[in-house]
Amino acid sequence: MASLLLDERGALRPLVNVYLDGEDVRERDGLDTKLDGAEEIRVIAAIAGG
Amino acid sequence: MVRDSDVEGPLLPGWSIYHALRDPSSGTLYAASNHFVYGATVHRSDDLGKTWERAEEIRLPGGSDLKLNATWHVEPGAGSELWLGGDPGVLFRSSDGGVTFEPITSLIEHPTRERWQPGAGGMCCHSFQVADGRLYAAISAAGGFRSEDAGETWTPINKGVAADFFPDNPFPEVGQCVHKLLVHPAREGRLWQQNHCGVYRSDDHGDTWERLEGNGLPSGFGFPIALDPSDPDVAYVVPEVSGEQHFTCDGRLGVYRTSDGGASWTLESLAEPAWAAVLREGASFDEDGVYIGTQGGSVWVRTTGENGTWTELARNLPPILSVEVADWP
Repeated sequence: MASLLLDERGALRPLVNVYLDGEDVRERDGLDTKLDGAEEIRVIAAIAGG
Repeated sequence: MVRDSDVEGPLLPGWSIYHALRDPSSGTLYAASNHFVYGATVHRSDDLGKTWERAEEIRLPGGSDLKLNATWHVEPGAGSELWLGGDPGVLFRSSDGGVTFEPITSLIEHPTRERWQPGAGGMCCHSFQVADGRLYAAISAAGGFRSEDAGETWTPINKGVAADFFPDNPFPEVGQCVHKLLVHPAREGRLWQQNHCGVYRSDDHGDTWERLEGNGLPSGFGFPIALDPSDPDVAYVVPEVSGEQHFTCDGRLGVYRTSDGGASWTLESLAEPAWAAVLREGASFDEDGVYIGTQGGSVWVRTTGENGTWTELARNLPPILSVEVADWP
């Protein structure tokens, strides 16, 4: 799974978005954003329908 | 997959397969696969495509700021060895059948790298072969390279190959836009290449090249080249109008064949009117014939020999990126 979401340097791929309780983690501390265990996490590939 | 005229698939739906083949030794299928969300990788299958595994790691050189943009070409070596060419001008080697890949830093960090530049499709290492105890790699647009020491060092092999887009120096040491480079299996030292700036033949392992034009070819521009493994003087190209007009010449799908080492070329017209395109991995060959796949989704096969005939095997496929022929159980 990690190789789909993270590039070869371990960074989140540009077109993969992670939302924490509806907020893009890029607006916070990215993948280092601290969790308290009660959040809803959504991982969404940003694919538009054309 | 096309077997006789039956089409199976799609396999790996959603992935752009820049190149795929079946390892003749192990039977494993390998695909240089790319996804605009999930990035570049190599998939492998040991059950004829029913299930696939992704590579676990394709490692870039430590300290490098390079990013793997795309995987372009896979080439089985000895045992569980698998070579991988990619963008940006990167070459990797796997010793575990495609699970992990190590960078060939001797080529990636070649002293001439600052003079390389990307072609229209990126800076892709698209041709790689192990032949006669040597390694051959070609990168667009860096040129051809040869290693005589199992990849420890690489020598540019571009003498005589034009780079007309450098008007001040049209024959540089590196920077040529090779589209496809092939080593002939039956005559040591014989290489062929289809370049942005012409079709070429070498008879000294790539030390020097002869340009082959003005001899029946409507254009020196094209992408694929195919050979006849039993006859080193035979080659097939699919010329396109120019670097700015990527479709076949003269309103036809024309394949041009030489049987005299490129001294003359004969047109074999597959379809007319047609404005087609065949990509650099869109041609393959074996002892039985030549196989091409077009951007219009057609697959054609030609039987071998002077009087071979072309047959359309399949049509209405998506744009074809890669054609390889394999024995199938």
